[in-house]
Amino acid sequence: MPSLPELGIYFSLLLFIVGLFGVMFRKNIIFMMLSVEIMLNAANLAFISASALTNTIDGQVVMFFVMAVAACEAGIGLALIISLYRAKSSIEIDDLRMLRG
Amino acid sequence: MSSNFMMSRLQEVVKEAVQNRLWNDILPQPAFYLLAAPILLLLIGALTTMILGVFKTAPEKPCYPSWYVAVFICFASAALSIILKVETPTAFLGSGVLIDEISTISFTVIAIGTLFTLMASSMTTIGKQLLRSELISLLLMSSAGLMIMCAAGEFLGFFIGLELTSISLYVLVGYQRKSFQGMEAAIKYFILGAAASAIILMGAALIYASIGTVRFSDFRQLNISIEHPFSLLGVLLLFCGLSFKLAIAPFHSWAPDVYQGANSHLTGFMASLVKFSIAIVFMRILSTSLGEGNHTGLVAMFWILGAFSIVVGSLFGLVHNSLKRMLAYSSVANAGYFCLAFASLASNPTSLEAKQSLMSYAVIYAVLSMGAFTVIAWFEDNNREDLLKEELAGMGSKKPFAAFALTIFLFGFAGIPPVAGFFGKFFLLLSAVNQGLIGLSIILVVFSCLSLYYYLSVMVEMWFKPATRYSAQINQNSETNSGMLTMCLIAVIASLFIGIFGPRWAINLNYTQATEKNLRIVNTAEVMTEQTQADNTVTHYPR
Repeated sequence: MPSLPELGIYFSLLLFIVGLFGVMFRKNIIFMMLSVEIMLNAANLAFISASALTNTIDGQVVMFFVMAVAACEAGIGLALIISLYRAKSSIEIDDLRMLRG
Repeated sequence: MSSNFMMSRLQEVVKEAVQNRLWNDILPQPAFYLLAAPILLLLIGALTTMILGVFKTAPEKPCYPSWYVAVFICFASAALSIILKVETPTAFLGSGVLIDEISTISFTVIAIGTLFTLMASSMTTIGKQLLRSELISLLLMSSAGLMIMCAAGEFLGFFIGLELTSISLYVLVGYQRKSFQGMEAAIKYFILGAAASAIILMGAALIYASIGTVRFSDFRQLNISIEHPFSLLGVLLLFCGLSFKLAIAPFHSWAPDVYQGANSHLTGFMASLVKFSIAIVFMRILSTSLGEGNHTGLVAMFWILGAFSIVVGSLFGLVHNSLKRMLAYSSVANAGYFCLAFASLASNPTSLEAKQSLMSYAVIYAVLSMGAFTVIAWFEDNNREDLLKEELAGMGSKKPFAAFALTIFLFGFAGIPPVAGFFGKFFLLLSAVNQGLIGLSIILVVFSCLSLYYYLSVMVEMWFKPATRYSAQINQNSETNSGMLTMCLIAVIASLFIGIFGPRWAINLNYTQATEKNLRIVNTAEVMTEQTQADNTVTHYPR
């Protein structure tokens, strides 16, 4: 039976895979962005679990910085999605096909 | 002994450590403000330009006060980073900011590159759209982020720099809110870039789980093997995410779309400086050996990535007609050339040749792609954006200097001797062959001959085809023409100068990185071990 911090890391890997599959297979851009957020939060969870696993504080510090960065990214992403919706009135990734070779 | 007592003792020790050591360790010395002045200046400049934008009445027009400030700041930062000589490599803020010769040369390149972008974009109509004060501010922020990234000696500093750059660039790519192409490029860049950041972060978290530190110089404690899945997976994810940012082949899918959809001046900025900085970060990570043994796995990974990238970049570039898309595939191929240096650095982390070749090729590639995209911006001015190859027909006689400059830069990408690219490839091949990467070197040579085809096809259109009615217009005003001529001339002279005299800056550089063994964040594990040792020796504590 792995210890609790190790279980936290395994769970974060699971979350990370969920997020990765979301980015790869979702068609709606908002869901893709939320999947990216899930990936970032999975990394946060891994950092704090690893902090407990290795008895160091660095991971918790990184976690706080990453939370701020994730908030910035969500803000920028939603702004981009809104202006895309104003321009194209659609937020499906399949409708983005102007840039092809 | 009760755990309660242990905790109170621990708290005492931590408190003492915080009071005595932490502030001395984390507060930067006064020398920091001088040595890191290029970064600080750019950040101050970003805030100043943002404030100056408040006083504008017409927000859509270029904001020249902000532009003057930005140009002055970039110039000052470039001058400072050239003047400042670093005698001993020093680490500040833990190892968050390393000031050594690698960082000063990257400060110089980034500041000059930003200055070049600002100057060039003030001269064309499409570039003037980038000169709104908030966009100038974002440009300065992103170049400050690049500098932070190049100077970082640990993961946290690197990640903050990377995100500062990326978030500013997402906005800059999508600045044309009415243009479908720009928005599409911005959304694609945002989704894939954010996913890549998350992948890098997860990799670092797993590395941290296995060694308990995120400093690059401590990565030598790693033990990359199948028995240690965390470190193996962590290193894999970290390098996959970094390859995403460098557009190495299986992860390159965003690059052509983004390069095609973004403003050409901005594409030049992204293609040259962002790639340069990521290459420097690769060098910083790989120049400490990642664990014991002879990293065959890492070398094999870079071998495969490099070969795939070179093949994809050289073959897919052949079928595309859009000039920027073609250059994007050429940049994918160039990212593959970087992999040669990464592979030789991974097989021998102390190899001076590999570092020299990486540094010289990164700078040469930055100069060449900056120049090439500037010429393309010149052609695109007053035409539609995103020119096709056929639209350059007859340009050799209509705009001879622009055609000549583009020819020089394309020769540089192909590696024809009098231009800089030759020395870059020569050093890459030299270090790769000395490390025994014969197969990858052969792939580089064969496929760069193949990619010469698409560079030459552009030159054929420009010089040997007569102008057709689809050709680009040459109705740029005289101000644009003279200004862009000067900028292109600077880039041409730089690339020819490097090509004739060789990349001396990379050979004479001192590649020792600053390391610092200080207690940046109080390490509870050490406190605990001190505690247990004390328990074993001393029978009881004074309460």
